[in-house]
Amino acid sequence: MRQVMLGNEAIARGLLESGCTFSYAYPGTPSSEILPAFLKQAADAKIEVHGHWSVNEKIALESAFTTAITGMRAAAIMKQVGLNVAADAFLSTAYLGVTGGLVVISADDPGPNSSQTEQDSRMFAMFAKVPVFDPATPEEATYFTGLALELSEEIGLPVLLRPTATLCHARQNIDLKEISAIERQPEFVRQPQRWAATPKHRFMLHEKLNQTLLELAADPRFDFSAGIDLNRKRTPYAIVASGCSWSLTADLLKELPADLSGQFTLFKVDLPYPLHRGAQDNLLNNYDKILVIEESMPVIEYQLGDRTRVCGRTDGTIPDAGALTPDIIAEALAQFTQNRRLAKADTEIAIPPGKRPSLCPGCPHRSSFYALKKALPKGIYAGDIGCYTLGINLGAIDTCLCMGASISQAGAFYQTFAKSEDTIPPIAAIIGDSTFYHSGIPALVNARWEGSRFVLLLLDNSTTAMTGNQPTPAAGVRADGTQGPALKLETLIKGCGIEKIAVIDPYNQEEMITVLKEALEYTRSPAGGIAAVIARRGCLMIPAERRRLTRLTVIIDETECTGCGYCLKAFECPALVLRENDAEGRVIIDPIICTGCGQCVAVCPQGAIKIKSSE
Amino acid sequence: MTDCKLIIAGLGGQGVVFLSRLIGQAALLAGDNFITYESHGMAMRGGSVSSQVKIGSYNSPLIGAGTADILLVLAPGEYERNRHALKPDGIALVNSATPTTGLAPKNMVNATALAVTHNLPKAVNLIFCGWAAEHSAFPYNFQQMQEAVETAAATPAIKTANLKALEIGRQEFSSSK
Repeated sequence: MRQVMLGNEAIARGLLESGCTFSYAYPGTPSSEILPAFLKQAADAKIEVHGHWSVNEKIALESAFTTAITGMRAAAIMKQVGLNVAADAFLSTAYLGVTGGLVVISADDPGPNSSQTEQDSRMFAMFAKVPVFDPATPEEATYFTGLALELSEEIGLPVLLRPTATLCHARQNIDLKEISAIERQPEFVRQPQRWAATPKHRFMLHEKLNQTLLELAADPRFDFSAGIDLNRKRTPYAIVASGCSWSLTADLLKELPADLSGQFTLFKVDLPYPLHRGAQDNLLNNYDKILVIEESMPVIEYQLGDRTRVCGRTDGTIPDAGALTPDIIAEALAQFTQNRRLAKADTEIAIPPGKRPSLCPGCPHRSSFYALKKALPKGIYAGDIGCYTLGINLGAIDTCLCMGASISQAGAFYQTFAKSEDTIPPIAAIIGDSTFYHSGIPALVNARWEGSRFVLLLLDNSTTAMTGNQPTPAAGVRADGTQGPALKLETLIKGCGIEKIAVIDPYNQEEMITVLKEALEYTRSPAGGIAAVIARRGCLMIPAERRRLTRLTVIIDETECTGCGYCLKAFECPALVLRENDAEGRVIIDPIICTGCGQCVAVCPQGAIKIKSSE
Repeated sequence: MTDCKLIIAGLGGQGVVFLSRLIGQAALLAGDNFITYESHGMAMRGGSVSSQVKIGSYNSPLIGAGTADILLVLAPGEYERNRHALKPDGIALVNSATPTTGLAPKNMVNATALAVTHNLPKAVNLIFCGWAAEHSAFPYNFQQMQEAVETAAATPAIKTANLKALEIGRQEFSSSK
């Protein structure tokens, strides 16, 4: 059967085709679609599975590992920075190993397009001493996912699958195999010296791990020189590539004239770590000039014993930041061979900057930010990860370090300024509901314990919006749609020792400003501390929320608009646009994207934005 | 069919991804191999987005500068940002209310205005697609895109609305010829 699949759906397919019935994930671009696809395809095939949005990646990995030490097959799914969160568990699992199959899927985001770093999960795998597969196409991702599970079970180690965004969000027509459930019952064999290993046992487990990796590096299945006829006349150049870097290179070579493409032998590495020893020898002993093309760090390159004839990221032939594109690889080939015929097409067209992303029309965060700036002017706004990072456009986000850091940073800003002679500026931590559950809670316990004082603005849109509206524990609805207990934010915050908590609808702008001012007062009062303000209104990307919204017809009176541009700058709603060819720079409402929330009415200093009539 | 490389550009929320999926669906029905790439995540929040579609036996969905056969543009501002990708004899088809420098009138349509007139504000992409499919450079013809819409729609109501939008685009092409 042939079917069109997104790379992430193809990975989910690979899990199901190879009998993996447990998946634990935390959403994050570019990995977010894998778990929903796993659940949907399993339901369509009438296979019983357990798929869960874990509260963070560490918990996802700990859960998948535990399932895999009962002899079952399990997956932990995350984006590359999620692997940082799961690092503690990840490194430990390599020593302990598994009895079933464990695939850790960590999707990389070279560029980066939607991340704080462009780290390479393959490098992380090498650091953790975990074997890693690098699939090149959605079709191959299905195959490698199954291969990873089988290898994991065979050698008793977790195996990493590293797709990149180009693959995750590629769509391809692929051949599908049957989804097969493995008939198996979980069995936990008590073995404390392994599952609760003390340092002495850890040393032995480490030696055993090293031995397994050595054997894997000699395993003929991963000999990346196997398909190459080394008795044939050698080409002047060899290229070694893996994953999407291989795909790009193969497509590029395919379109070159034969006299150019014939100069290269292309090696494809499926398992970049541990890199096959024999294949390395074949490569280094047979070619005079070798180019390694990989994303986004020199994992294959670093493993090559002799790099005197090797070009790549270590010598600058491949740039050491940014995603690889056909143009960058074409330039690298030109530089590597000193032949300008290989360089990219010279179009000499300057690319103007694109439109930057902004919060959606009607987004409740925009109203929260507007109120925040009114209530805490000249404040320090410690931000976090999510749609609301876009509050930076509105001057309402000053920091963004990593998941959950808004609260730690707000606390540390307070502690630092409290020791100075200057007055303490207004300090706010701005964090979304999903991020708060992910890693905000320990930070809040810490800040309360430390005696920090700041306004905690919790933007509760009841969803994980940026990554495609995955549910959060607030409503209790799980990944598979079943209803679990609702874990209310108010209760959790109270449990962290916070005594001042207010809940407000950010669409009530005046009231929200008052509530935030009171919160600031509380942080400065003698008996005060952290004041939490929960701005609660659902994300309009959720259809039910859109239906619930009372739509107003908003107009701008062209005789009253002075073209001051204040609304564009201070509110930045995509539905507020400049009137075309208007010398005065007046603004109009784009009726196609306006949600009719009416939140911009209060923003105009001239009162030119008005509500016509409610529908 | 012969290999074809196509770029669809617009702003997040305009239905760029949907359009690329529709062309993928048409390719599937025609029995052609293809691979496409979509923007996801942060960029989807109203920023510049593009989808790349490669029909033929390719491994990577990414398209190099000066090699695309067709450029489909849903937001006029995105034409300048993407025209470097077109090969010298490539064709750009642009949704625009005002004439764009360097483009022939037959390569432009005001699909946004048509969407407003017909009260189908969310179907700018499909109106544009119906119009674009009438151009000979487009990889699949109007009937093939119609079949793609029919087989891809999630509900009968969506199918009817999408087919109507496609037809509006086709009529616009015939009437402006």
